[in-house]
Amino acid sequence: MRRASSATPGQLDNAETTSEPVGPEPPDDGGVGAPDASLELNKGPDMVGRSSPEAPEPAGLLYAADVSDSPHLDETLSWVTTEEVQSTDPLAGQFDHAAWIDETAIATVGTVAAGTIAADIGEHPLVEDTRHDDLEVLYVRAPGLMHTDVQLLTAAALASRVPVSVPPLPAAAPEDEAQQPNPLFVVGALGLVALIIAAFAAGGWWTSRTGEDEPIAFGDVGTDTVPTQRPIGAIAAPTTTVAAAAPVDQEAVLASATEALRNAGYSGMSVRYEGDLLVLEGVMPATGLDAGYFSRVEEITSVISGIDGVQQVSTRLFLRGDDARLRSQLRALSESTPVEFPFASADLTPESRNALQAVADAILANPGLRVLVAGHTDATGSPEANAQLGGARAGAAIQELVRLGVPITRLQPVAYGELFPDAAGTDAENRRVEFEVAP
Amino acid sequence: MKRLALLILAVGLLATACSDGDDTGQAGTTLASTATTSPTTTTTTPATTTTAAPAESADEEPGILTDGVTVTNDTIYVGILADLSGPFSGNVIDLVDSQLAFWAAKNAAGGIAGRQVELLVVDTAYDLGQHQLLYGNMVNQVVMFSHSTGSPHTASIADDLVRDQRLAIPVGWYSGWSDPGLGANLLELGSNYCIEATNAVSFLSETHQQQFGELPTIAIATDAGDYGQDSAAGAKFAAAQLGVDIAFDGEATLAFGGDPSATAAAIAASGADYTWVATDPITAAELVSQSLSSGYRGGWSGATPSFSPRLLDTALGDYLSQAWLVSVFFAPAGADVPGMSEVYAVLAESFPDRFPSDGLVRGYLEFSLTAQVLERAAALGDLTPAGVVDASKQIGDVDFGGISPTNLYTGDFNTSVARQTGLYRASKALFESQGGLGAVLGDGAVSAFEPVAPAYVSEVAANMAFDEPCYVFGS
Repeated sequence: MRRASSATPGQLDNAETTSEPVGPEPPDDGGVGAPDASLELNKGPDMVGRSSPEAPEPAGLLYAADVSDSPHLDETLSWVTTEEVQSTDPLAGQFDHAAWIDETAIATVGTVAAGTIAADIGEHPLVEDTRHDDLEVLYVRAPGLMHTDVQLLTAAALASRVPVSVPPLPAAAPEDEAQQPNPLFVVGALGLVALIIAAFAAGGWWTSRTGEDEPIAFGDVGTDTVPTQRPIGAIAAPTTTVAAAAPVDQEAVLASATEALRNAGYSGMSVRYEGDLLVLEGVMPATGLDAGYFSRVEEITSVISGIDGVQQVSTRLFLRGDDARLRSQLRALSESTPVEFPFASADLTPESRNALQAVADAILANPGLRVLVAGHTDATGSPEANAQLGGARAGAAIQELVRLGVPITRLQPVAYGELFPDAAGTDAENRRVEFEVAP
Repeated sequence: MKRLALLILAVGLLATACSDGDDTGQAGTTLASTATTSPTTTTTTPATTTTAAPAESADEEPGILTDGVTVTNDTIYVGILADLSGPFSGNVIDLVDSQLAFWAAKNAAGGIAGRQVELLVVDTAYDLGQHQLLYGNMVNQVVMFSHSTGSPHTASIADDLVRDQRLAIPVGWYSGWSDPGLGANLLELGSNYCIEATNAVSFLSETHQQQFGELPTIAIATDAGDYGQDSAAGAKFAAAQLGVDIAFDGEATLAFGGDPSATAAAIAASGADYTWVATDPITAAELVSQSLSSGYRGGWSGATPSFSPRLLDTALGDYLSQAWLVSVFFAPAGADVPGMSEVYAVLAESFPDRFPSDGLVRGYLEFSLTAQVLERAAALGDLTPAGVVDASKQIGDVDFGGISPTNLYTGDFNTSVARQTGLYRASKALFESQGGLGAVLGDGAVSAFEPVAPAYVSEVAANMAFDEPCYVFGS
């Protein structure tokens, strides 16, 4: 390591400096600008599914997003269809206000009328523009499947405060894949825009302009896109579909699935319904994943996928537990059964030991999370000595929690001493240990 | 609620602390004796080792070569060597979970080259021996490693990676990764500890000078080893270049689970205007609280792993939101950068009830880089481990949509080191307005960081010439 330039110490104002401006650097375009570089998350020519690198690029691909049911654009943006198009006005006559995005036009809000899209209404109008209230449809054209276009739409949608979605395209038939890339590959390869469709996949995730239940079909891609759509975010392997002859008794399915999981020993997992979608969620034990995470997910999912009435299972099985749940439990315990100490002592009282049992139960019920054990004192004495006593109290609590079965690796002491008293508390109440979800 | 954390209150209490009796009658067990000891050994069952050298064979798919083991006709196997139970597990688990979510979505969208990507995950527990053992068990089963926790741990397998023709993405920002002599098969993300410290000290010096008309003094308190000492080297380099006096040099005085009280006392005694820290968040919390107890009133900043937004939920939250300048290698969760929208959408769907941890964003970066390398390899027609290594040498600069500075994966040591880091303030108000630690991605919660200089390159860092790492192992 050495200094390469001849600049002298302190020369921060040197006109030749390569430093960037100090201070906040809000984008001046809300993130829509600079499409050629700043939005390219995933470069490379190899984003076309199974196509060989030399496969011909399609002439042009248009994604159209119906936002007609999002009059303020603070609702979900639903893609409705996609197709190769040669013209630029496939929605002519269907909508009055559209946003058009392609490789050259960053974003233009126009009026779709008589087969034309009026442009040049302003620069970057998708950003901070009240005209969004009128917007009904967003286009993005992706000639050659350049994912930059999709990213542009994403950025524009973000700037518009619109949640982003993925076009629900049908998977290409295997024999077609080499010639006709599945746009899902494109979107997926982009770093995977948004997973809102997972919530919609179960039903009603698109809406027509007229509010009817029929999907709008642009071009020749129609309703057959729906059954092939699988929620992204749900793990790939375990989404299972089984034809159901009768309406599902969701309560019965939940009861059966819960029992099946319990019988299989998956205590940290639970099931619930999101619409018609059965969601399996919880904490995945970190052990046993050396043979493959997705294989393990599939194995766990198989426990419930065969239950009568189960049509589709989406999984959210990850390694970390729910911060918020443990946090709220620990705080409630601090209120109801505080762990307090005698004056000038780190000895646990019988009451404190009982309180720690509840803390241990809460920690053990939330695997994957570590807990900060914070030792406090009252303000009597020197700060340094009280910091030491706070540490001792934290240590005593940890020793007891370990005795109660909590792995020591999940516990971290911190000695706050007298620094952070409970303002409303008495001295006795400040001689305490508290528990926080560890950073 | 039984906790109140206000800087002013804390300072006031310190100032008025009475001494007419100690609440310390018992010889307290010191923190050092009660702190967590070394991580337990891994509970992961080692994978069956495939010992036979995979024979390269032509895949059924025309034009793509695979070895039939690490990449088959339908699956690509990728390894993750992660600290899932050790000192950095809090952050690392978020990071791994994020990778799992992004790969799940990628698979749902078709995978890579028509193949699903399967992740083989093991817990190294931040244990050097376990890391090496589990690497050996796994290496012949995976085409590359998308995650390897720990700089010394990763360094310990660096030569093996070259021998075995595997890539790995290190979780650790050691300045030596860009050195082809050490990190030939390592793909770093973002800048390094040394540059980060250089930027932060430069920024503090610059702003202090603007505000007070004089150079500040700094204290340095770091862990030992490549992390802490690489960071310390950067801080000292900047101080030397800028003429900043180092009031206390606490390089290598901190350790996870150790007692930082002596360092805290020295910081307080130094009266430094700012203290640069490189440790873990819990030790940092200890250090800050004990320094306050000892009367320290200066400001703080620290290396990326030293701070966690979750600290805002602790009793120190108010103080840290005022006194700690957050340094980061990449944009925090929800930051206003172009690529964040895509990332956030995936995270919100996968973790609707999860706190918007920055580790989740980092997980995306690992996923993205891995995916790009594999896709490049597929495009080049060679998905063997050696082919993937070769592909990594051809991807050049990679732009992460502003989430992380562009990384060069070609070029010499000096040119491949990214110089940009970010500086933020941790906002307790923003944190609490979103529900504190109860803030969840599903509600659109973002990181509690507010930008100060989100894309900062100091003059010193820009002009730093790398012909060797800032800190050399064993030095």
